[in-house]
Amino acid sequence: MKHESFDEWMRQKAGAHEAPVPADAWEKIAGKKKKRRRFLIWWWIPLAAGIMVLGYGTWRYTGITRGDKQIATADKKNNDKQKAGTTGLQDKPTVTVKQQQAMLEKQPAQTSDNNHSERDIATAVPGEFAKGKTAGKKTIQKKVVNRIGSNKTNDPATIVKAPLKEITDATEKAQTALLPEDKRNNRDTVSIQKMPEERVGHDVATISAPEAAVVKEWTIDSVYLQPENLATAVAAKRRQTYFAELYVSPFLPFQQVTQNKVSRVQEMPLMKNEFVSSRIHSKPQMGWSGGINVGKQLNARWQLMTGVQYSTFSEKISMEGREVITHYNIVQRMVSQPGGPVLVNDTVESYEYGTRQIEALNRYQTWSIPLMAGYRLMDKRGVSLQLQGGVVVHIARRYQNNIVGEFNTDDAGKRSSAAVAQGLDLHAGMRLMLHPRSRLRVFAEPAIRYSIMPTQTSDMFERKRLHQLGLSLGLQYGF
Amino acid sequence: MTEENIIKGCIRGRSDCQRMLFDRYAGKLMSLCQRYARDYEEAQDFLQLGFIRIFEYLHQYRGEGSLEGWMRRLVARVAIREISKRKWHLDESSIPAAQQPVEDPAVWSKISEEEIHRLICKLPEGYRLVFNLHVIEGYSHEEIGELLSIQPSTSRSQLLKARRLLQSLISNQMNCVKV
Repeated sequence: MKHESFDEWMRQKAGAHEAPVPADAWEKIAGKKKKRRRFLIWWWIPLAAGIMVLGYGTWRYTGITRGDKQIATADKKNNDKQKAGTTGLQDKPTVTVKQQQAMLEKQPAQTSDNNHSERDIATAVPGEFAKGKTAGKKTIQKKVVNRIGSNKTNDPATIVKAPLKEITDATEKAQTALLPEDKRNNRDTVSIQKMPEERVGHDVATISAPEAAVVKEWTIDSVYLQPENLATAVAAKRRQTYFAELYVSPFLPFQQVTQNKVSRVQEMPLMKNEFVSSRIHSKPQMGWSGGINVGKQLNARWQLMTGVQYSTFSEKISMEGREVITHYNIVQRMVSQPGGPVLVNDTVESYEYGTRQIEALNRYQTWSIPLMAGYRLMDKRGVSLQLQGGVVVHIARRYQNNIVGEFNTDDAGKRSSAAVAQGLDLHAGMRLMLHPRSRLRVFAEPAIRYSIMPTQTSDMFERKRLHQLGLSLGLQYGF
Repeated sequence: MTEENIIKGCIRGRSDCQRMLFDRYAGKLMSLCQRYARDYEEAQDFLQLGFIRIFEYLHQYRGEGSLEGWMRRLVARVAIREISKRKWHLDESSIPAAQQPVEDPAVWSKISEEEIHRLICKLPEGYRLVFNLHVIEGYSHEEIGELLSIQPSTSRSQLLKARRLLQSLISNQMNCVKV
């Protein structure tokens, strides 16, 4: 028969064949579909949560960093002033008297309303003030005028650089309370005081405006710059920036198994052993992990850290399946040859079938790199509460397999491998931290790890994903 | 219910339509899976994975060609992908020597589909994969080379050997070996 006709004949025969389908096949497919749906849900929840936390963190961090920079600027200015022998932030205006006079000339001499025209202010403010106009922010210009009016409480340096923010009524009240007593009681005073020339650099030409307008132009920055708030700000800057931590964490692994079949073939001299099992019971045992991290405190709330982690755990496996043992027996038979009978070797196969129960213990040792972010929720009286989140990247794994009751040879009973691994877990935890000393902290952190990518080594394909529930205990030291 | 309605129902995620599709094609696809798998358990796994993929990608079926052909190709690809994940060899050490095949067409016609299926399953894994992909699924040697990460020339030689061995097995089966 020619190839083409043979192929065609085979295609027809094989293509038309229908094999019996296992009775439970549909149930298994339906079950897997549900699991897949559930998996998708579970996969997206931590991912979405992670993105939200990161987004919120970035937003907070950028906001707080800007605030920190402003505090730092104020701190530096205050120090400069202290060095120069001045006593208050408000004593050193950056606006020269000539500029102020120019402004005054453009302003009405006495006014009881606060409807300063934008054009008037713009023409009145030269130099740095003119920048405000260029930027097209009318409100900034208005703020400048009003700030000049409240010379006792505002730093002109801040007025020029600080962004304008809307302040709520509640904030206004709080800020009003920060005003000096004479200003609070003298809200109706509207006056222009022109200071003598020799006091240039220490006093500010004053254009008083209605107090309500003054208060509205207060910003968060100016609140920070009050002497009493400044102390807090400076203290915050003195917080330790870097830290190192050492921890140990007992954990309970639990797994999501997607493969429940094992096939094992052992070939020995004159014997072959084939074992196939689809009934596998796996029970992960308690494990532990430990590691060292270094990190940086980005600001009062946020910190980042990374390090190295070692973890180990065992898993008890019980498998029941069908075993086929093939024995190869060499028998000799006599064959008649022209030169006389000769003995010829023949191999005879004999089979043993049976059901076998295998008990095994797998041990996994993994090296990982955690990449974590921490967000401090609360910090009171030496106790702080911190939200921890991030990813743990597995980089290497050692696997050992011991089958109970078998000899530990290369091919039977014991198998081990160590290889570069790839795997990824999401980590989320709540850290409770105590501060027994200024630099030393003790912490406990219940956490959950969700495996989003099963750990695979180059020599072993692993389909099950192991999640972990653990409690980390450790020490942190700040530098 | 027509096939078109079943497809629409499956795309909408209706379990009854999916069940109907399964009942209609499971036998043929199980046969296909058995021809690729090492054993019965693996064939079951391929079938499950294959149907999950079918339900997942059924919306991509555009009605070009038969639905059965589309499903067969998809399931075959799933099987090949699963096989590629474990180690497999083009091992020829345990292959019995091919005997002279029977040329009599009358003998061929006596062989049932079931017997043919069983004989294909007896082929060594490397032969079986190439034979299934080329002869039954209609893949070219270049496509097979890509799928199995082998040279097209290797695929050709494997097919030749597979064909010869299969003919020999059929001859043995029919107890018609020429002496």
